[in-house]
Amino acid sequence: MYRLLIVCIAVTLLTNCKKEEEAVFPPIVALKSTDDFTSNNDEIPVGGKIKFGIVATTGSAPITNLRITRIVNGQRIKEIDHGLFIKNRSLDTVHSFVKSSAEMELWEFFVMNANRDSAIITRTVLLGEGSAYGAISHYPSLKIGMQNNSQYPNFVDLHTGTLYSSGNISGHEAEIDIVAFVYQTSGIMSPTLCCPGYTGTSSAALHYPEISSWSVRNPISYDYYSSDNNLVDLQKFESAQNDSLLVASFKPGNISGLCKYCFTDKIIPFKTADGKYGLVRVKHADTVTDGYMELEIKIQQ
Amino acid sequence: MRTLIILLLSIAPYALFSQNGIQGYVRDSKTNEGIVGANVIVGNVGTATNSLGFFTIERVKAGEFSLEVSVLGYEKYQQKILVVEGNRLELEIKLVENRIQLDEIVVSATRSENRISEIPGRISLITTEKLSFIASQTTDEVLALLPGVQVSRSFGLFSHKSSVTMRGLSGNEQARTLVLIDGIPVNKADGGSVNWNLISTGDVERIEVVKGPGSALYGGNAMGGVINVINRRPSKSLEGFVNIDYGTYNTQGIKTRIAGRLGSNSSKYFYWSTNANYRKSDGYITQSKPDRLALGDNIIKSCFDEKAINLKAGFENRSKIKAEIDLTYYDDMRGTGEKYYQPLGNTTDHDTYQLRSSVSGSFGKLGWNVSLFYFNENYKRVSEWEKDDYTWYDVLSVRSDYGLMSSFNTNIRNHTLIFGYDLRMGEVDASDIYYTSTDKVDNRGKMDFYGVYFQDEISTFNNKVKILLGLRYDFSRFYDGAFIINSPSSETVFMDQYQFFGLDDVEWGALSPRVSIQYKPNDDLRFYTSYSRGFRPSVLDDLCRSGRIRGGFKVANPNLKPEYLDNFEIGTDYRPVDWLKLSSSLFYSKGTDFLYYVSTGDSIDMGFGDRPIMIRSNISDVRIYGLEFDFTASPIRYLNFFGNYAYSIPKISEYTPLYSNDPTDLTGKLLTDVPNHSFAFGAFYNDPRIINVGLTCKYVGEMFINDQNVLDDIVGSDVYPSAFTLDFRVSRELMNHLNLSVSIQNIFDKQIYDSKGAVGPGRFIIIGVGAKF
Repeated sequence: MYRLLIVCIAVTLLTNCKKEEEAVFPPIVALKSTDDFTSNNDEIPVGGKIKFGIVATTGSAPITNLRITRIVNGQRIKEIDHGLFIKNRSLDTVHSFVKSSAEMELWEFFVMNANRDSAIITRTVLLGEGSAYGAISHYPSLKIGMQNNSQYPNFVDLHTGTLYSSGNISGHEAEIDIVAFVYQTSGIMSPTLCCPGYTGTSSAALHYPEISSWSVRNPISYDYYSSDNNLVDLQKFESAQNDSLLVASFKPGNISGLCKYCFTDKIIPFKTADGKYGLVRVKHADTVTDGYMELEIKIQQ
Repeated sequence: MRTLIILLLSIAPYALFSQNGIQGYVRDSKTNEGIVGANVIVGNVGTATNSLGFFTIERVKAGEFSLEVSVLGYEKYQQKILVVEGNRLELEIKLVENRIQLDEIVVSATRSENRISEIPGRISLITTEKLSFIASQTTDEVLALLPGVQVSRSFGLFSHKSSVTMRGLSGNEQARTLVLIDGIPVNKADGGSVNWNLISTGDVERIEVVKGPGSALYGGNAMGGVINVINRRPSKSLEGFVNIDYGTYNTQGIKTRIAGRLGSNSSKYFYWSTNANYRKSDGYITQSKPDRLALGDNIIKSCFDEKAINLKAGFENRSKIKAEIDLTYYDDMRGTGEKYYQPLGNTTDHDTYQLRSSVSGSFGKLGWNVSLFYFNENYKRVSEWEKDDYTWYDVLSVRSDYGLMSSFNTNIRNHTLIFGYDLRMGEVDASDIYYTSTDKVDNRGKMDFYGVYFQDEISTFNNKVKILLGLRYDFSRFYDGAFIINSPSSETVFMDQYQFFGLDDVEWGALSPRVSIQYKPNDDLRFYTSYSRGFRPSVLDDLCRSGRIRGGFKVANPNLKPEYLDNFEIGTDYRPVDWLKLSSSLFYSKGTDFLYYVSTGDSIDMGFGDRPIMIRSNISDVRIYGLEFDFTASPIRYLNFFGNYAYSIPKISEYTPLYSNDPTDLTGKLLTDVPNHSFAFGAFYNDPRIINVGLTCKYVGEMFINDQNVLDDIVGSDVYPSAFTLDFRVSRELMNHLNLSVSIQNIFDKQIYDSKGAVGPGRFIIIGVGAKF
């Protein structure tokens, strides 16, 4: 009986020895509040710059998603929805946007970690008086070669409109925003606008191997839906004198990527790595690898 | 003391030889030479002959036993022996050199034991001996050496999936060929696939392959044929082995087996076995050249790590009842060669549990068999990549298949009647869980199958004519299907409109007849002709999952019906001389309601431009013409040859698009992944005193890559190039217990690419060391 009692006690103790459960912490998100950044209830005129500094800690798992949503009259527009993997450090990033004509915008900053735990913080931005639409640069005709074309340069610096070829690109790699190539997809020869930062299967580096050695490879976001559905009217594009059309045309809620199938007469909204909005009109696009593309570009100064 | 030692030494031989024992020689009946390496089994005790053909078995209890002697190249020898207390039995056994066998016994073709020569159809058998000569690392690779059998395993050992098909049906559709393990179906209801990696070559005793539709007996999936992998059972009171392998890409493996029998005689005993396998490899770079260039340091070797354990226990009372239970656990992790932030990069992982049990016996003249099975597979795929930004999601899928199979048989005069019912249930509950966005995509569904069947084997004209009549009806129900997207972001928002749940059940039935006739005028010649119908049920993946596919986007179609194949066949076997057997088959198959992806007329932008929306539909009729020829020859002792050639033309004869403006017209196109021509050849030299050598080669002709038979962007052609591979295996047994082996696959290091431009492992060498008892 005595032995049985000892055994029972031992079994009870053993079964109650649970491994101490680790506490699970969600991420924490905050916004920078110095003068450089937009504060809660700031008034900003239409076309004016909204700038947020976002910091977040990981919690118990790496940060994997940052989503910034603009909410206007109940309509949610995802301005940013980025996959990330930030481990053992904080997220610290700055994003700029342009104020719409809405009286009030609610901005939502959502951060999720690999446990799918999340944190949200919001800011309200009000409409200020006047207009702050800015000047644009206009490049009426930029002819760039496809990957096997040696007649035309291949690399575009959108900030100055300068074109470079393999022979004179050295020292200017960090300024390049656009490259063009033709590749076959689903049996179709596809003229494509891309950027040095695209690393997909048909990447820029595949067609321009020198890009793989560049230390800075700029990305650029193209708006897919608008170009495919020709939402940007040619007349409006031609008459645009400030950046209002450029800003309004870019629909971040649509899927935007770093690589865009295009053909002659498409007008494609884009946003550069440093946040400048623009429109590129494809005046001509060959479907052969030694062909060329002629572009007309309007971009925020 | 010295006196005592002398006394002990002097009586020791007497003590030894006074025990009950058996000894003797095993010799060739013609040459009288001793045969080395012959297995001699008395009851539950066994041994092997030495270099003189001599054997001895000590400490045998008194009583009557069955003696069995077997060795490759000779006919099996069996006799009853009587061991008398205190006596030593001396035997002189003469083995007759083996003629090419027409008469192996198989169980798959009729769901009962039957000789191949008595079955009016084409049956191939891969025996233990043949398995031991083929340089293969997986069980399915062996099947590629059969005529008309197509194995799709792009990366050899490193493939996380493989499919085996036959008779001109697409090489990527495992659901069109039924696979059984010990008579129990293992095709998953989710996708029809089979995890060939969990079938260890070390556990396999033989593989039976029944060509042509077998749905009249087995129901769904048995459209192109039936493959039955039969695992070995112990034959001694204690037996086992340990094999250690090492090879290319730092591939390491160990296989162990311990098994035995408990029981005093050979007709009533318990048996048990434990098999365990572990294998891993550093792997190699599988990615295509463009991917290597584009993804740079994110390309890593496609490695693997897998382990399996199988426990089996059974009881056999030969005249009354047999019962067996079998549990398998398998766990693998296979890298797919791309890594960003996850510890192992992109991987697939299967955790599988398989429980099989069967009981068979007889009531008077009625024999019966009932099997129960439950399979559970937890599949996980980690996917990560960087394009516009970082994307990471896991696919978590729980697939369950369970059911009951039964058969009853009896003989009434010259009729053998077989009938029974089967129940099979399958379900899937899967989620795509994104970590770099908020999306969670769920798909789930269940399918039940109920089948009843009846078969009559009629033997007449002195057994020269055999008629096989069979009929089966299957009823199926798809229910609880759902496709739901939670918190969609740009990753999945384009699928939003295709969500569904709470649908009505979808039901269908399928009737599968069979009529076969055989004429066998003598033991060396037979002719047969056969008509049979097979069907493939739609799979849960097509019924309830929408998602990306190659070149577009597919939407679920809960209303899919099965596809059917009517097969007409004639064949003959002929043995002109003792050492040569020739076989040929000619078949014509007519497929109806074949499942194909067709355009819905809509397109979708998934982030890289407009792509067509496709849906699986029963829209095509198919015609397949085929011819198979093979031979086996054993012209001299120790040397065996086999060879075969297969020709097939699988053509889409009628294609009806869903959408009137669909520009696609597949009429006249050939099915993908099927070669028009293929052949295999092998030579085995088996002399246990010297060496065992197996040399096999396989040619697979060009195969179309896509349904449209047009240029493929990635491969750069409309067809995969033909491939010729040569494999070699040599082994040597030492002291009856040790074994050394070297296997070389793809000796010429032929680079073979898949549809994504990824490359196979090339030449693959494995060196093995083993010990058995």
